[in-house]
Amino acid sequence: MTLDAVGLEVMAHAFASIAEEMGLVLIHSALSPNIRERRDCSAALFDADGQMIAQAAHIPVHLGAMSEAVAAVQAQDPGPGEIFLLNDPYTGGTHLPDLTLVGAIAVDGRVAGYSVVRAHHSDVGGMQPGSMPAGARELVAEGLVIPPVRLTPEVERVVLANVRTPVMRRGDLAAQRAAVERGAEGLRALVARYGWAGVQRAARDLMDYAERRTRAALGGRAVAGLSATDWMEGDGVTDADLAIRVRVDIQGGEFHADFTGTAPAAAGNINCPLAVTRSAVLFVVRLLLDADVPMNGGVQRVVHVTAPEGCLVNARWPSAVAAGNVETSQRITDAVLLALAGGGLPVPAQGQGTMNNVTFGGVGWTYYETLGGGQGAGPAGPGPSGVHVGMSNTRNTPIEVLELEIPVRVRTYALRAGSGGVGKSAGGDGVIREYEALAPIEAGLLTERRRHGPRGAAGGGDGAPGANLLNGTALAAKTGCSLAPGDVLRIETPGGGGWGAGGEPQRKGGRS
Amino acid sequence: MRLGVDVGGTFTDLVALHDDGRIEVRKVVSTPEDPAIGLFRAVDDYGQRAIAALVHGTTIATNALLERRGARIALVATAGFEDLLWLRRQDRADLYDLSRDHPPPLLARDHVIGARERMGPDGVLVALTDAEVRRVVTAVAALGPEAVAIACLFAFRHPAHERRLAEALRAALPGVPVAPSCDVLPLFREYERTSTTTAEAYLRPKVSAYVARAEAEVRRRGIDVLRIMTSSGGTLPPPAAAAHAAALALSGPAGGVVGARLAGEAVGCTDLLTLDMGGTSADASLVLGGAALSEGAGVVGGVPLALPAVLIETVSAGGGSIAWVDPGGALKVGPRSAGAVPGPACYGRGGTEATVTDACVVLGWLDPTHPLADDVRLDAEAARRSLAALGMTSLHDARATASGIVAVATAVMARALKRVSVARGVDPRRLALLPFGGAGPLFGCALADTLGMRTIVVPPHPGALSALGLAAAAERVEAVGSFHRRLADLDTAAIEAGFAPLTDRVRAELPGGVLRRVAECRFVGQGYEVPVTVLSADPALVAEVFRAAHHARFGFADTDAPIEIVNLRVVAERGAPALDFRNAAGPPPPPARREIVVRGEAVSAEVRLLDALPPGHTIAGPAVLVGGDATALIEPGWLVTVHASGALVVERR
Repeated sequence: MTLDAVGLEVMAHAFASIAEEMGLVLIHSALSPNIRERRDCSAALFDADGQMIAQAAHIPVHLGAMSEAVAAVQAQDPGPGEIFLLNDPYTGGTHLPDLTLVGAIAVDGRVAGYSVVRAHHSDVGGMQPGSMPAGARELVAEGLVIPPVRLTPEVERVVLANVRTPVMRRGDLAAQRAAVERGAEGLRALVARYGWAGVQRAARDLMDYAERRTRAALGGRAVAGLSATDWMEGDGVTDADLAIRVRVDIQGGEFHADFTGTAPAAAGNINCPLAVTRSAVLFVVRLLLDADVPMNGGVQRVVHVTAPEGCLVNARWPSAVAAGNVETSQRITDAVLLALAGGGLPVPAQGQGTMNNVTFGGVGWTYYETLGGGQGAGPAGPGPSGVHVGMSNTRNTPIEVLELEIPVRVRTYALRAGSGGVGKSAGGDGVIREYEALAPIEAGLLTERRRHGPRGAAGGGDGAPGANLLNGTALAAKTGCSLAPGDVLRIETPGGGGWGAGGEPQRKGGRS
Repeated sequence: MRLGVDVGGTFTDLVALHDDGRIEVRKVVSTPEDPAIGLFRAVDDYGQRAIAALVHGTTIATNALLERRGARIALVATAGFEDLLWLRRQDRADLYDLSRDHPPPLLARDHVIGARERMGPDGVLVALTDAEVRRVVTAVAALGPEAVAIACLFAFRHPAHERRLAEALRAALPGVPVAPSCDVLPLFREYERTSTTTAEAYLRPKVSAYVARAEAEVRRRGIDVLRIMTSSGGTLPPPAAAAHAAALALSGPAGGVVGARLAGEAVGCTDLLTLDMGGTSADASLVLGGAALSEGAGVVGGVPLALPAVLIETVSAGGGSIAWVDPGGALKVGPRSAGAVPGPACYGRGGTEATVTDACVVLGWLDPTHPLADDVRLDAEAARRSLAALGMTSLHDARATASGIVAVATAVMARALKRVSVARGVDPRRLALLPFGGAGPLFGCALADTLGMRTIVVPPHPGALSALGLAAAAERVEAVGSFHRRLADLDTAAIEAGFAPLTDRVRAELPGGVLRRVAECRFVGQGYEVPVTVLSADPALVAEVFRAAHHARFGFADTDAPIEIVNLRVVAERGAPALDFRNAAGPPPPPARREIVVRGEAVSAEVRLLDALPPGHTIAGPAVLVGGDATALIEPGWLVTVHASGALVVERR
């Protein structure tokens, strides 16, 4: 028996509400700004078979990426009510700062499902504060690696002994645990109301429904052998381009992405475990679906991602991965979008494809921010300007906050006029942000799309590549530099690709 | 006697609050083309009696923002930062709809004039020259604006440049309102301050003209006082309202939350989840410890307004929300609404699509023989036809379809109520639910069940609660100032000195008001502030109260981080007479019975007239209680007790 039209919608809200509540409990009670304010976290509810029932994703990079975590915990034979902790990218994780808690939900003495909460902790030890070390060449240098283990007080002591900010970490872990427990309570309340068989059936029906909607959306878009190649501009160790190659087939309502031909894992830390690659592909599939299709395991059933073992997008231990999650994931998305656009599918052109990570540090302080840029234009209209694209969506830091807190002055913050690609619909413009150092500062840049601008689609022009300039002289995409008082660092972020032939020719420059 | 008049999209509600606490309710059809006509028709309808005060909730500012029908304005900003309104906070409008953009700002980009000047945290970095002032004034004048906003960096702390520019612009453009950010919102965070200041300039000509006209009409009728409701649930006299146009953006819904708070207080419930279910949407809000939760991060019509406002979370589940079936076969409700015109199919005004109200009619919850308002009678046959047209073959009849529609609408609203409470660390199970608006009391039991709540308070006159809130709202003014100092560096005298100018200002604006002083504090490095009521300005006491408030709200306060005071705020309030909701009830008429459908089951329900029930009377569900402006549904398993205030207290049996 399946749910009727009403039950489907009511249960969809009920499950989504549990995931939402878990996310709110976490954000509300976490200690660190990265979780509280940037909302770099996600919560999801899984069934006993490890399929995702509902998710509250605050940033797309966590989309559907937690199935691996549940599978890794299932392999440890969890008992009802037990909570596991993990961050190992090669056993259910993504990159080390993403600490994931997986609770095995107890209903009537058995495991009835999993309550999962992932949050980006801005410190998991390792060679640099922030645990995103630019020069890392192996995983163990990036921080503490935690395979799936029961989260006992002893385990927590080990974690806290390996980080620079134990008080903050303890608070965030407590918030995460509270969120996991809230998810379990939510599921038990549903069971009390509808019965265990009813809830189980509803979960299964909801996934079938999402699968049905996804298959229907993909069914009308059969394509074969669409391929594309895009590039990572260096790995933080060398500056050479690294290829990400994808072949996309949409057949019988199923989506296949194969990354054969992608560069081998890099020496630096831009590698991805397959879980991250799968999220990036899932993000693109999500763009093809109507907004009301629930995001659950049913969608994932029809999305297949393969990549050669040991390549950049299916890395193996001991490859370093910290930046893979933030930058390579963007390029995977870009490559898949490019392939689909080549086949005439109604997807937007590439967006800026980077988060423009900027780090400043001085004696006793560090500061991190990311910058928006141009979104790709699409069949539905122009690309928005000055926004985060793809796998990221965090807010900026107000100038008045920045200048009150660190010895930096912002000289200009503006849209980078004319940087979006031309087309029937123009790509969004990037932004310009100019910082003047007021004291000696160590600056770190982790950026992309400084050589290869975001590609246009359906005949639209490319977006302008970004630029990093120190006192007017170009810097590499990924670099560190020392700023003396009076030095000016100017970041110009990429424009988005245009869509469709036509439109005004691209204006030159962008300096207003 | 005080009058509260709430001008809504469809109806204008009037509540008269007599000096002895008695209340009377009137309802007339709104006049959207000129809301003032409906407003004074309601007043004149009620008759010329000794009216001490008219308190008005207006949608004039809200609609101007939603429909983008404000003034043509210019913005003066620090050179190099003219794009701030377009850069927003760099988050995108939708995670997966990549072409969707945020609603555009309230002015064209070429109406922003950059001024070569710059303040930093410690003062002048680039001086503003006289020549530059002249250049800016000339450039602004050339645009021929109807109002001018000025928002320079760090003006919340160093307003000198803004003040000089404002003075020069006022001299050059007589009659054109000039709004500098240091007056509108002297708080840090440049995007929100610029956006709010821009909205103030955009709204001011329209709002001040409306307020002036209303004041003239009030004078003509011999009414002593006119006051306008603000987004934060206080009221302002006409001159202050005209000068705080952006503070009226949520004037309408704020009245409802104030009314809900008072109705809850009258039955002894001070912790409430409130739900105002109207024609097109449902607004959820939260009252804690007898105070409506107020937050300063509202967005109206896509324009962020960082002014204090009652917390409102809106979902598209109103009586007029349209039901439809999606391609995957799931039944959905909203976001499209049949609105006031043509309205639900059962209104018989040409609507054919099935709405939540049509479902309620088919389930027997609303009585077709009982007129809804003026000339609207419900057509049950039209409701049934609209449901049949949905073509839901999996559901065997119209009643099953109708049960489905109300179940989905309930699920949507329950989620909003949960978000409002859980996001603030409050478990809904420990709150009472207060449903109001024309449709709210029909959904009280179902919502309470879904959220695990055990008490529902149905206020008297649930359909006119917003107008009641207006009539009974306290007069309230507030002043805010930026402070940004660490507690460890302060002594009592320094904090007192910070409050002094703010206190002087509110005393002048509202003589005789009761003052409350608030320090907005945070641990250094945090992005949000927690308001702390300051009884004694001793820094040690402020720290102690802050830690307690922080712990209550966020669950921790045990960090070693230093504490800073970011803003100071002084609020002055002058109260209204206490309410007495008593009904002039005689003996209750004999109950009628009617068959209704609850959760798919046909049951025989007791039907009563709401206004005719004596205090202490109890009724066990299933029951339908029919009021003049709303109907309450009591599901099986719930017990109603009529409270002395006229409210219904509904509890799980």
